[in-house]
Amino acid sequence: MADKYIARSSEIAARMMGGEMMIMSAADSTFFTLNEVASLIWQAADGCTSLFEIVDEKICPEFDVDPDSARRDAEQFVDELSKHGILLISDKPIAVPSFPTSEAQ
Amino acid sequence: MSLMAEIATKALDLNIPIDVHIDVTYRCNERCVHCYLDHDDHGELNTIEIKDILDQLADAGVFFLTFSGGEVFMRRDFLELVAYARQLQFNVKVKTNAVMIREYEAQWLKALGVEQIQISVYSHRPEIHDAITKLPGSLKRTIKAIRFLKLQGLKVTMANVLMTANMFDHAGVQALAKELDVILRSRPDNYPEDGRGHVNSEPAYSGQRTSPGFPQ
Ligand code: SF4
Repeated sequence: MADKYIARSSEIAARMMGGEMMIMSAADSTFFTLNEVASLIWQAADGCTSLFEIVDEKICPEFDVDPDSARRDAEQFVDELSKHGILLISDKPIAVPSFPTSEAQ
Repeated sequence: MSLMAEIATKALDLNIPIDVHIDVTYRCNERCVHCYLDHDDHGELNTIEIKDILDQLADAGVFFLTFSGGEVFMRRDFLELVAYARQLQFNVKVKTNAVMIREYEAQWLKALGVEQIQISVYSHRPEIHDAITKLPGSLKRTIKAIRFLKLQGLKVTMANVLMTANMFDHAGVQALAKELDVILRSRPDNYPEDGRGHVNSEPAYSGQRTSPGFPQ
């Protein structure tokens, strides 16, 4: 298993509702809901924290799971989300785009 | 039940206002004959105040957010507000007359992941559309903006308010929507009796409009 960096796509909308994360892609209007563990990974996907760091620091202590199988499950999950274009995966840190301010116009 | 209907039901059960419409300005560069706004300066919230409201809406669980006005691009900070809303991960829709949208704005709306832009077009004929908006050249600029937005791959819908002044142009507007590859929504519906709404509510057969008008 090789570690990787993950970042949320800039085209998605997301909100926590009743313990589940709702995600909608602006690109094709597809809608997903994530459970609690998946939501934690999603929220931590900032492009500069590696997937294994996220699993080791946020998932394992919280849910008392075996690190190896948690890493495997997490890899499968992020691969699945990246196929739908709502999560970006790279072997290097991913730069998050900067946003305009009123001075920029 | 569809996933969307399930979510709406769940939001209702949890008392979450899942869908919010926010008017960020009274100002507008058009003076549509059917508009309920009086376009007087009633003051408006500043950037920090709107960002604070967006924070509160995100905390309240709002997922769908529509920006409207007035004309949203009359605010110099509008893209900054959209960017802030997108950082808070709202699903953002924008209602605009698009007159002020050029390549720069279209590129940012795309980069910020805006879900949909709704644009008012009242006729395919400049003499009719511009007579309704009271802004010469507005149809030409609006169509140009739609092309910029489509070029970016954005989802655009065209909104037409049916009234006496454009009652013979619906087929032309339909053809224009087809040519521009956008969805058309025609609305004869009622809107609040705000601003000029109470004076602008004559029925189609005696006045300008079929119903009290709405901005965007
Ligand atoms: S209807 Fe919309 S575009 Fe027309 S004057 Fe009112 S706010 Fe402006």
